[in-house]
Amino acid sequence: MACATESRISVEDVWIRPDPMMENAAGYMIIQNTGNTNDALIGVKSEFSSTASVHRTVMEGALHRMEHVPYLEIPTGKTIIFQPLSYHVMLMSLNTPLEIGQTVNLMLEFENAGWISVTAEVQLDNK
Amino acid sequence: MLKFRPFVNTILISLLLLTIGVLLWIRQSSQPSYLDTVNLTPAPIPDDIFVGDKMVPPVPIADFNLINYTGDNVSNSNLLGKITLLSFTYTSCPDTCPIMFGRFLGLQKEFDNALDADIQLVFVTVDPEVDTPERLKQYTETLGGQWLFLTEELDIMREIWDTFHVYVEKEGALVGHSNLTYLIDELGLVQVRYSGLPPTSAFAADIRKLQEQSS
Repeated sequence: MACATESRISVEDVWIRPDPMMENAAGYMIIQNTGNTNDALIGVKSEFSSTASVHRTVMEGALHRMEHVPYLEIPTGKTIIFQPLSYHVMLMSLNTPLEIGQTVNLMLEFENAGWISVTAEVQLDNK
Repeated sequence: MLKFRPFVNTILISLLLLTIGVLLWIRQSSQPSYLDTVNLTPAPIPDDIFVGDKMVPPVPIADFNLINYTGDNVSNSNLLGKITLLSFTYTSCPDTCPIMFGRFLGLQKEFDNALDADIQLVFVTVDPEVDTPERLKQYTETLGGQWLFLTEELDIMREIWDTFHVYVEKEGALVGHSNLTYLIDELGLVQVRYSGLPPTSAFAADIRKLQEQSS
């Protein structure tokens, strides 16, 4: 009997941290693939920034730099944690100042699961 | 008989090489090995150990002349007479740098009364094309920072980064850079270097250690 493949993506603990100038922000979350097929994060959109993309902070000794991750594989059964100094959603050129405590929407595009809308709380640090 | 001569020569050369090899091996094994020459007893931990990397010997801070966010010139001589924690960062940085600003804000709370009088916190930008004094002022005041935030023209900043071994690579609005922080004593000697983003408690402990040594 054939087993249907199904992508099940859960996204939790979503929060974003704006810089003090309210120009850019970084988004963090926990993405889990509980389905029985691999998936990948292939895009991000937000209404409150000009651009949104997935980045990863790469540390080579003392050197810290960011690199764009256009395709982030999320294998079945795996959890990917977006956190400071690691994967994050880079939200450049905020359209509007954000207030600590307010919530905003982020749209995440997965290769198999499609678009998923998540709610992020604006915070200075993870609670 | 002549046709066996090359064969005999080969055997003789092989025997000669084997003899030389054996003699070298005997000579080598009679010498003490590297491990024999190393004292494996742990050295006592010195009282003045720092969380960061101690500079041995301490290095005098290089000459520099930069502009603070207030518009005032700040040179290396302005660092004399106080303990200084100096780090490199930029204001458009969304992921890594907020952590370092948080560390310095934590130190402000920790050393509330001593700040300015005995201890000073200094940021140096790695993005001078964006980080004008006006922008640094707005950033510092928004965060409630009590630090100096220094900038200058790009050419001058490149010299400063080289002096402090800070690698900088700009890609669009983002700047990859070495996260290096230096603890400088009242005489202007770089005593400790930190790589990465140590916790506030690490900086605080080392500042206190330096205060003890200075008193």
